Amino acid sequence: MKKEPRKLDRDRLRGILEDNGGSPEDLERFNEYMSRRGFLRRTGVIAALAGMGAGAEVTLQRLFGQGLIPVGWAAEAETKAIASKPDMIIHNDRPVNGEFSPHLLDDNITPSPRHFVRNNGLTPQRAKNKDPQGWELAIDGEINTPLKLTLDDLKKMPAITKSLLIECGGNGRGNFVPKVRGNPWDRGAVACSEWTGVPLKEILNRAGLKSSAIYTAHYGEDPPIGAAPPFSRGIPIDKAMEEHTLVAYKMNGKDLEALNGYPVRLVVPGWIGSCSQKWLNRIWIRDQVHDSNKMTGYSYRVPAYPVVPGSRPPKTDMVIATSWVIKSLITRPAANTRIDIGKTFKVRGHAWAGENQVDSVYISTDYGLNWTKAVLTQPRNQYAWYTFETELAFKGKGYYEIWARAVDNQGVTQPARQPWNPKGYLGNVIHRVPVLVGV
Amino acid sequence: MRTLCLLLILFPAFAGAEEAAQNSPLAEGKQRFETHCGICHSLALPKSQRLDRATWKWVIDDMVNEFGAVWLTAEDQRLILEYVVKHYGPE
Ligand code: HEC
Repeated sequence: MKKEPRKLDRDRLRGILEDNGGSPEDLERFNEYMSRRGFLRRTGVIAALAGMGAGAEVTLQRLFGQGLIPVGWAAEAETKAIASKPDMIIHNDRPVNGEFSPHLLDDNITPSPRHFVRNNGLTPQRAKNKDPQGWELAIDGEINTPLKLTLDDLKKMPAITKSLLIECGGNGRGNFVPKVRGNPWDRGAVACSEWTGVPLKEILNRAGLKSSAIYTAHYGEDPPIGAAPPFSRGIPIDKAMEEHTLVAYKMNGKDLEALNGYPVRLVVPGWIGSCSQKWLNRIWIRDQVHDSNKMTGYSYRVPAYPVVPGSRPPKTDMVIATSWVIKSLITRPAANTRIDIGKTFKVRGHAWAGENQVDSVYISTDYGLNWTKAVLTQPRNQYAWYTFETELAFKGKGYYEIWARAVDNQGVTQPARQPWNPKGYLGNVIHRVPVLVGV
Repeated sequence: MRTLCLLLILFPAFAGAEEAAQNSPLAEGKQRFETHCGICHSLALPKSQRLDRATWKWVIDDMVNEFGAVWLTAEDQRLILEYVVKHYGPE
């Protein structure tokens, strides 16, 4: 039997929202969203509304019945935020996740519009409005004096400026075989911008760490999606007290980009990016290893031993992923560049090594049979990426690959294939850049 | 009660849940996938994946048990699983 579908118009939607406990604030936002001129037509929402049948209403009621409040109006605003990163390859626009092609990461100091974005939740309204009013950083837990710092308070404290590398723990995930779940990052979820801020240790010293303090737990003001708990990770106290771990309020000399954590974020260089909490507003000092959902189970954890590719070891065999490992990125030439036979050209790129130093970078054009050493330039401070450069020319026509392999000061190098892990963290296989010669 | 933030995008896919009853299981799976899996995050996220059955099952279980997609019935989950395994399986 076919029922006459009941039309779900704006008023009915609002009614459902109201009936299911939408707060006045939610209703306000709903009205604002729905009344924005031209919006409905532009996105086809009105067509959807007009066509929605009783089934749709049931779906919506189920959603609202769970206490879920629509904030769909945020989607449009995320689009606006993404516009600040014009060259970004978007994996996901909500939450925003995007990276840059390696050839766009050639600068020694990554310009802000080319700093990758890995969001777990939505971009906070404050960040979009660039409004520091009411922002505070709370420090609590295993300390003698709980602190609440405003942006002005922070700016009065001694600050340092450093070039610091941040890399998403999942950068390189797309190269794992078999494929793993999560944003399929290629190689561009890494950046080395210039960050200005207060070393976290200055703040913790002011608060006075108790001897029971062993770990941090970071929180930010980004609204989680769905019923996900607030995104929160932490680091051991030693890393928190390391002088390059910053509570940063400037990125390349300016306010932080909305998508990169305005007004304040942590920068925990050398460690997987999720340690560098964005839109930071609380650091809880703990007397145990932080145990949020992003510190336990399979999140940001890797098997304690090599596992069968495609298998899932028990949670108890997973350990927290911490610092990055030796890695390099070829930024010149770009993939698929056409090169004339015999023409000398530059190969350039960056290398970095987590907590270690980069010792050398080697280049191969014959699938790793022969390697030649590139010229390596030291970074201006620890945790910034090194730059390598060399010149090459191809004698004959064809398809070639330029490979780069970095070696750290412990003698550890990048593999061609690496042990698989269920969520594809810490991918560091050799970067291969295809070029076409004389064709 | 904690207010959960939910992105509500009104997909045309909401339309015609009525007719869907007569659809093939895969068409039904597609419809439920497009209706439910783009609510909290955009559909681009699941569509970017190429996963085997076991991993897709793991993902959907997490959506329901960890992230709040509690309204998905066992039937919704089963139909969506069949659909994503077919269309977003390993290459
Ligand atoms: C109630 C909200 C909600 C719904 C509905 C939802 N998801 Fe998710 N999904 C999430 C959250 C939260 C994350 C984690 C986001 C993050 O941390 O970046 C996520 C992440 C994912 C990921 C990335 C996997 C990973 O390991 O991070 C995939 C794939 C995914 N969802 C697929 C789906 C599919 C398929 C459906 C439909 C059955 C669905 N989602 C419905 C909330 C939801």
